[in-house]
Amino acid sequence: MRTWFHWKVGKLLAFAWKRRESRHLTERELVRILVAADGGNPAAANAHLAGCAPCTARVRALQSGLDRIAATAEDTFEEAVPAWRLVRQRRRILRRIQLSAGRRGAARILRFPTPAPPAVAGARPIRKWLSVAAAAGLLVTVGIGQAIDDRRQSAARPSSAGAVAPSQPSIGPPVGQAQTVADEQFMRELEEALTSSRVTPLVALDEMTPRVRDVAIDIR
Amino acid sequence: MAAQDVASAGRQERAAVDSQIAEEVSALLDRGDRIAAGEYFAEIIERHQRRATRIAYYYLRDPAEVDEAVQDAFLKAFVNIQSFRERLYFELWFTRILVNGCLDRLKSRARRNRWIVPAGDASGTCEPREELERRPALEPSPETTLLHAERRAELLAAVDLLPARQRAVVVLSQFEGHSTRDVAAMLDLTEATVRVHLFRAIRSLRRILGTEHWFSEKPAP
Repeated sequence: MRTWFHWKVGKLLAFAWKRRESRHLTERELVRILVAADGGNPAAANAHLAGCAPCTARVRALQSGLDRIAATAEDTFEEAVPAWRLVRQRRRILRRIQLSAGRRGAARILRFPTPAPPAVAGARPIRKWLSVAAAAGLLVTVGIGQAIDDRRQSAARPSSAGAVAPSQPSIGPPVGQAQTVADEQFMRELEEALTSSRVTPLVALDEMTPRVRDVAIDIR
Repeated sequence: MAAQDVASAGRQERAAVDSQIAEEVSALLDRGDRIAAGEYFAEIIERHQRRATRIAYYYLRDPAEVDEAVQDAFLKAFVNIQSFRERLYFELWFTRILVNGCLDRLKSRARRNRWIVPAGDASGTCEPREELERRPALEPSPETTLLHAERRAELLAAVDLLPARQRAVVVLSQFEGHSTRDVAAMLDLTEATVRVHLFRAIRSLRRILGTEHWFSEKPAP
């Protein structure tokens, strides 16, 4: 009985082992084989691979697929970044490095912002003389102007004090009266213009508008 | 295996030259000769510019921003070259500077996009004149061109969908061909973490891109 049991278990294990060996590798196992190619490989999968042509073909297909991906990636790069772009990039890198090197080599010290220092005597003679000449010119001009004005006033004073001003002949009405006449004249002209302008589209508006005369009568 | 050995030897050689140049630049800076150091540093730029631009492009996609990121990274490397230690390859040290700069830019872009509505397509295409300038005289048929353009757009969109760390790992290990150890050093992660990110990224890419075009061999029944 016991012998039979051992024989049965042994047979079952052998069957399971055989079945395990005969089944194909899963995709997971295939990828694992590729990934661990430069490290330790799972021994069982490798053993299976050695005796299984279909799985070997699958691994090869996977590998060639990855190679194809790498080649396509290379093509993509070639197309996107052409040679002239690399040349330009290299030039820029070198320029930046030179700038960096130059900057580090001779450090430039930036001065802290302070109020302008007092002008040193003789530093800018032309500018100094220009401003002095302008100021002097201004003073002289003002002085001369003042002198001329005083002279005119002193010349006019004796004549106005001694002689009586001659009476001017009256040419027209006095100023206040003339102003009133001018206003009335203007109003009249305006009213005439308004009453005479019988432009068709404005007739209705004209009719609605009160006359100056009417308003003047009402007020009175 | 032989090809890998050759590649590894070439890499060692390049790393040694880089280290030598970096040391020279550092020594010149110590002596205070910054101009000469800058001129010497140009050789390092020559050696790493293209790779750096490619990495930045996969992150940022906008050529103008890529330019700035690469410029900043080189300038930062120059200014801090005295902190470079020989035990870390210059390439790894520099890539770390670059990737961190790109990640910062992505973060600030995300912050900006939260508040600003983009005015147009930010896919990073060039201006019309540049578009014309970069077209070769003899092109493949329009169908092929269109198909390739579609594939490229599809791939870039898929890469954009990956989280930042996964994208970094995919770019550095799959596109640039670095080993898990190098990627771990560049991103300041453990190798196990890099593997996990890579595993997730590949599964995501496979799911997003589908098996029809990209992984076209028929799977086993």
